[in-house]
Amino acid sequence: MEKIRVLLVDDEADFRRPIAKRLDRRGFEIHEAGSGEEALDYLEANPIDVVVLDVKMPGLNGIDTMARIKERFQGIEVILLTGHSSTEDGVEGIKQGAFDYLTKPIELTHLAGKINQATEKRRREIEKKREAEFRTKMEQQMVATERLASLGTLSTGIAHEIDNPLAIIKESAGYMRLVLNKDEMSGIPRQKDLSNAVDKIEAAVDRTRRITHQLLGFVRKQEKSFMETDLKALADETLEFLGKEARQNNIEISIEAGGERVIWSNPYEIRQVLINLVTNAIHATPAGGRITIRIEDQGEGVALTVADTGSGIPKENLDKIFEPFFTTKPPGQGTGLGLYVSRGIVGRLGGKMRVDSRVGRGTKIVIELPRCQPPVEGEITDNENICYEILNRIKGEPES
Amino acid sequence: MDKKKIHLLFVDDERQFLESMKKRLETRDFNVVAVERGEQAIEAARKTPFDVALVDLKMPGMNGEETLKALKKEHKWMEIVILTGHGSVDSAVECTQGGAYSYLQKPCDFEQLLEVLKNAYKQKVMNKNQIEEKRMNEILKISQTTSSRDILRRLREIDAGEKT
Repeated sequence: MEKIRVLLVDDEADFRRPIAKRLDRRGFEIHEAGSGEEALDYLEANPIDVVVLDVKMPGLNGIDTMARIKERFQGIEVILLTGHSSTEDGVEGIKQGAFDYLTKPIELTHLAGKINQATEKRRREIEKKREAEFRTKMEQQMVATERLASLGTLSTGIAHEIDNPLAIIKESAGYMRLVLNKDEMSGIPRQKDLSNAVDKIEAAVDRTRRITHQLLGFVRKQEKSFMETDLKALADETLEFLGKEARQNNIEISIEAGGERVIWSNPYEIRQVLINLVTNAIHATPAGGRITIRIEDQGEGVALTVADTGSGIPKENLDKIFEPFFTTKPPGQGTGLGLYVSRGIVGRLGGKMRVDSRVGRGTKIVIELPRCQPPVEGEITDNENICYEILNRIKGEPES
Repeated sequence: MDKKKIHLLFVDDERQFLESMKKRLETRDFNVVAVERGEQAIEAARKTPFDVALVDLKMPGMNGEETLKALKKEHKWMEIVILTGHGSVDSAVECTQGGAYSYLQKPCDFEQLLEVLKNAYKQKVMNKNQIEEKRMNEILKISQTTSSRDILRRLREIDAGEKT
């Protein structure tokens, strides 16, 4: 524990010295100043936690000194001492921001206690400020994510536009193949090359299609269709959907479900996320590996975990995997949108998604979803209620 | 502000003083609810909103400091003025730390008391406006990217945060 740094300011050395000595003996780090001006100079150059300040001093008095301290040095707590106390001065001192206002002669134990309390308060405030800064940072990040999402909206429009010419290209490539395979074409020079080129066109079209579809899937109109969602049933469906692929790769998938696993959410979106995560797991897991889908009741919410015994994610990629278009798959196989989209969905459902991975050991993706009760009377469900409550809250009216 | 009556909650265990002050204040644009005990003050404030409370310190049952803290806790906008015949520096400091707007000692000049009560009311209106503005800004800041449901959630968070 660091020593608490105290600046004791009083113009009467006879009063100041003994107090300084006794506080020093109690384990405080004491510095002294004989006037308000001296105190301000000292604070310019040295860090201090608490200032104990005499009110009545020649030159700059205690109240004025405190005002300047508060103005110039944020977070320093001030305790005022006075020989001629009045209720008015006491009220004024506290209103001006003093931590406390004590009357001489002072009880040393009492003063030491107050210094400790003031330090505690300061520590809490620093903590609070840090939290607030963190929150702001998080919010900025969220805004950035939202921006990306609106970018997604934009891309949706583009995706639709692109789909049409893609269809034409695909159609034409198919037609070229048809023509190439006709009898009258047999024996034309370099037929093989032409045929290969057509293959490439078709493959590229398919790849582009996959990207546009992902984009479309990401921003399908968010008609919030919340309903009873049985996570176990969703896991079963996912397994049904991907089981074949897993078996082909000799990977075993199991489902572990405990406790209450029905929540109020959007099953279609959760299924999309699950399919995405399990697909990733299958791709990352070598033959003979295992994938586990776990559903755990956490009281407030439910945790949905997809764990694999695959290759794991290298540290340097961990904070990139949720970025759009980041993929480690060979070109043409992954769009790099899966996890980005999944995280967007989970966030919209009021949940959180985190990853825990060790290279060579496997990866665990955990989704925490709120249980969300079905709407009851007075819940925020319809816009009218929401707006009404927002208005009341702006006004600071108590909730009725 | 001038046309509007200030709603005042007045707590004092001396009935005579209470009655006569109530009458005098009501001639000067105040709506006064007068009660003799702290507990009754808490009750009354739950029923109707008050702008300002004038609270005596020494009362049987719940004393003035406790009443002040309880009122402040439940009605953060209410400004509270302490009026006491038994003032001390320590209690003045404690009340101010507890959020009292002002601390007056009996006997107190009636005009001075009026002045303080009116200032307390102005302070209350100002605080409220400031907070409303802060909230409006908050909402403007987040409304560009969020649904009203999220805004409400955020507001609830802010409120929860302010309580701590």
